[in-house]
Amino acid sequence: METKTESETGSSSPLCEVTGVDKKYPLGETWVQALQGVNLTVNKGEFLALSGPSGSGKTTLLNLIGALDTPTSGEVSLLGQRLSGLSGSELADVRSKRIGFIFQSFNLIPVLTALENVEVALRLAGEVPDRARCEESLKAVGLGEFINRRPSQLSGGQQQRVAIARALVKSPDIVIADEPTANLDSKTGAEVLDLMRELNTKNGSTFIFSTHDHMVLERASRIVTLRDGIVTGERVN
Amino acid sequence: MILGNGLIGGLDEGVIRGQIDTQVGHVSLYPPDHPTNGLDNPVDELVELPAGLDSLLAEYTYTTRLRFDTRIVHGVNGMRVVGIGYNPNTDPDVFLRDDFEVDGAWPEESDQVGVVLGKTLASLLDVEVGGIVTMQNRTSMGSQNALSWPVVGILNAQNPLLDSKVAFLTIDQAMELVVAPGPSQVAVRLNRRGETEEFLEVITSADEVGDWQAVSYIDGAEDMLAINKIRRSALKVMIFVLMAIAATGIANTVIMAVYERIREVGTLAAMGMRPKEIRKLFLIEGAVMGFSAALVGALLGGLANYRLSTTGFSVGDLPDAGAIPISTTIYTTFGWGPIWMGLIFGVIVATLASVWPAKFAAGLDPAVAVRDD
Repeated sequence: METKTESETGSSSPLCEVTGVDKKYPLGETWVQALQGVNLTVNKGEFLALSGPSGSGKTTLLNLIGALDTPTSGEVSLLGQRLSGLSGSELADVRSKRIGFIFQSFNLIPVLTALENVEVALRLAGEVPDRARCEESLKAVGLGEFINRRPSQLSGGQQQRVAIARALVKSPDIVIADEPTANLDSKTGAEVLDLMRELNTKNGSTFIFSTHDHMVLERASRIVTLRDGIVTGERVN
Repeated sequence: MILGNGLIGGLDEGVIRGQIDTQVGHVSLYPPDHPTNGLDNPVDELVELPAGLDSLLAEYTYTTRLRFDTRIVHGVNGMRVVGIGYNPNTDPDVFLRDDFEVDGAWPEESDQVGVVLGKTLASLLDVEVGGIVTMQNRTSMGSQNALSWPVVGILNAQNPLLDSKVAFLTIDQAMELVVAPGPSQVAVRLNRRGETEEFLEVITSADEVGDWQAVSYIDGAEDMLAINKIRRSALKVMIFVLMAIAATGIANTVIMAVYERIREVGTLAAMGMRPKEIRKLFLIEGAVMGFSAALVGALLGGLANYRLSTTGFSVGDLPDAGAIPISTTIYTTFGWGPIWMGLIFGVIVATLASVWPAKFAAGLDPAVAVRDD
């Protein structure tokens, strides 16, 4: 496996640092070691993919970086702010303002229109929902014509585009995408990935994915491989 | 709750109206040592009206009655009933007859003779208008007397006491039959119920009244009102049980709403919604649900109660309830209080019932909830 130094990836400023992180989950009367001594630096503007088989710890690591969970030991920091030790409300604040999420199942609110789904992200970030800004965000993902449609009136690819617009509308420091193409056919998945890559290149948005999908891996600027909760390799495309 | 309160309020009102309109007026005076419960009607201790009582009551609406226990006979049929001798000129102003139906006619002059029987009594005696009945009883002097009169009216008062246990005749006829020195009751009708206490004080302290006993309609209604008070307490228990059932239903609905939307809750939490905001979301949902349900319930209950308060509903003839002076047409009482209470209770109960489901939703782990299937 080819590995490159951080400077060779073209990005240098550390956005997120994961240092010596362990994560254990209780399972009945035993514990599952989901992550073990993980070190990772995510730089600004990266299009980083976490790869590995099921149960390797990709989603757990994304949860820690996304402030959805806290490590059993070790440190996760985002733009220098340590996430360990923050309360539930403080973590919610970090998520609302600094992190955008894209989920495998799109996770749109079914009773809201595409526009309203995007507006929710701004509301939760404590910003006044600016309709023009939300429309602009939807236009940027090619859904200018569909802003008043509900998720059930949109295709899977269109729903994932709404999710991308929702994640990006508040200009987050990092966008976390958990298997974003897993529920899409290959053509639509490729289109969605190209869109995200374009937004990454154009706006400098930082993306971090978990995936098994070779299409994602081909487009990633850096690939970190996990197995049994340990980082086993890193490669720069 | 609205209907139940309206019904018990209506029963209270029915008991009070029964006392005022058919038994006591607002206040009645009874001779010294004479029973004041309206059930026993001895004639051996009757006395003349106190001198000066007429002038004392001159500015009030009042009437005199002579009540006596008698046996009424028609052919081979005989019944023990209460004879009520009334003053045709003044009685209708005190004891209202507006809702009564009479087959035949009331004797309207003192010198008219005839008896008016309740429909149930007439049926038991197998007598019709024009038939002759004989009334037999002790006189005030202890001898037996019996007089025969034609039945001039058959009364449908929708009141089991009046329909089955009472024979009406003019007070002159009653005096003749009982050989009484005076009436057994002087009934006064005031302009408003609220004047009763004040009038009672005036009348009991007046010298003109002598040893006569003054009793208000409240004394006569006391027992029935006490029973209704027990009913009201039972209703409160029933309302509590119903509220508990409703609360369980609402809690179940809200918890189902949480379970159905775990991924949605997880998504909102992942996007930065704080636990307390999630809790508030479901509490508001429960409150809105409670308000909607309470609004529909209050509207339906309020409309039904309003309708029953104006048209009433019949509970049948109640032939076995002969001693109860209450109309068999029950009117509920309508008020905005129970409607507001229903609305407020509905919202409070629903909100309280949503506390646990809301807490459950707020405590969901967003990392897990966001991937819920």
